[in-house]
Amino acid sequence: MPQAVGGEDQLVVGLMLRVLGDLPSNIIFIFSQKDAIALASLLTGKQVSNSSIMTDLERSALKEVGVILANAYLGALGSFVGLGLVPTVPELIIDMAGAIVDYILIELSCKSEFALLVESEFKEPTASVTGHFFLIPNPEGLELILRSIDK
Amino acid sequence: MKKIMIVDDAIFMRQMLAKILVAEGFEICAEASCATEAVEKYKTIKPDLVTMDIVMPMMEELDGIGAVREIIKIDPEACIIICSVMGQQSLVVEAIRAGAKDFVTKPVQPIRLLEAVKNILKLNQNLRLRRSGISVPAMPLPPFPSS
Repeated sequence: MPQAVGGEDQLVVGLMLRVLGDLPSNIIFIFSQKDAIALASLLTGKQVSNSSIMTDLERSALKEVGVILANAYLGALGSFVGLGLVPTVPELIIDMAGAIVDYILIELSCKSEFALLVESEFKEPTASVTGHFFLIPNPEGLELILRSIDK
Repeated sequence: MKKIMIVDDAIFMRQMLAKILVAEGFEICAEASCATEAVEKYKTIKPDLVTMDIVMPMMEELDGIGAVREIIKIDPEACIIICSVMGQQSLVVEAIRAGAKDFVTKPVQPIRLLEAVKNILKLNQNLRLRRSGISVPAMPLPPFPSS
């Protein structure tokens, strides 16, 4: 997973949400520093110079992107597999890609040796912003998805 | 000038909605970042209209729908517009049943927001005119969200 965003040591901006409802999971959006700055600048209309000293407004703008994308994604997935999926309010973390991913995977490893990672890439053409979306279901959630697809 | 209160836990959304509404000549009389604050401010400020986010962190006892219920208890004719992300249809339906008058989905389209705000304010004004005996033509109601 960290390789998708430039390697474990790459400093990135992550948005983490938990999914409640029928499919307990975690969602992580990961942006490179450069893309997070470009997206925050695009949304706020102000030039952001450094992702590690983002203002509350810039952090809030990125979190709102996370809320909108997570709800749209989960709405579509929920309809497809016939499950009710509700995301929590996101947390914004600025850290190395490996640390962000470990935070979620360590929690999962207590329950299972395997995890399903669903990666989606989205692009904003005019500002050339790319983000990575990972849906990481808990083991019991993973079984639910597979059973729903089988039906 | 009509007074509007914006309720949203995200400062970015509050600023964005305020920008759209102020540009159209509305006054932002209050902002609230949680449901409890929204109810308290409604009691003292009595805005003409409220935009209400229904999904906010549960730091207090109330959520967005709870705030709609409390505001309607204070003022049964309160004009409340729900701001919600796509995929929250069941919550929107619950909020409308609790007394909200309309809804807009995020990302908010300025045209849709202004249309909802103007329609609801007009409907409320017509209701008051009719009560005072003045005849006003009927207006179409906003669509009910499909669940």
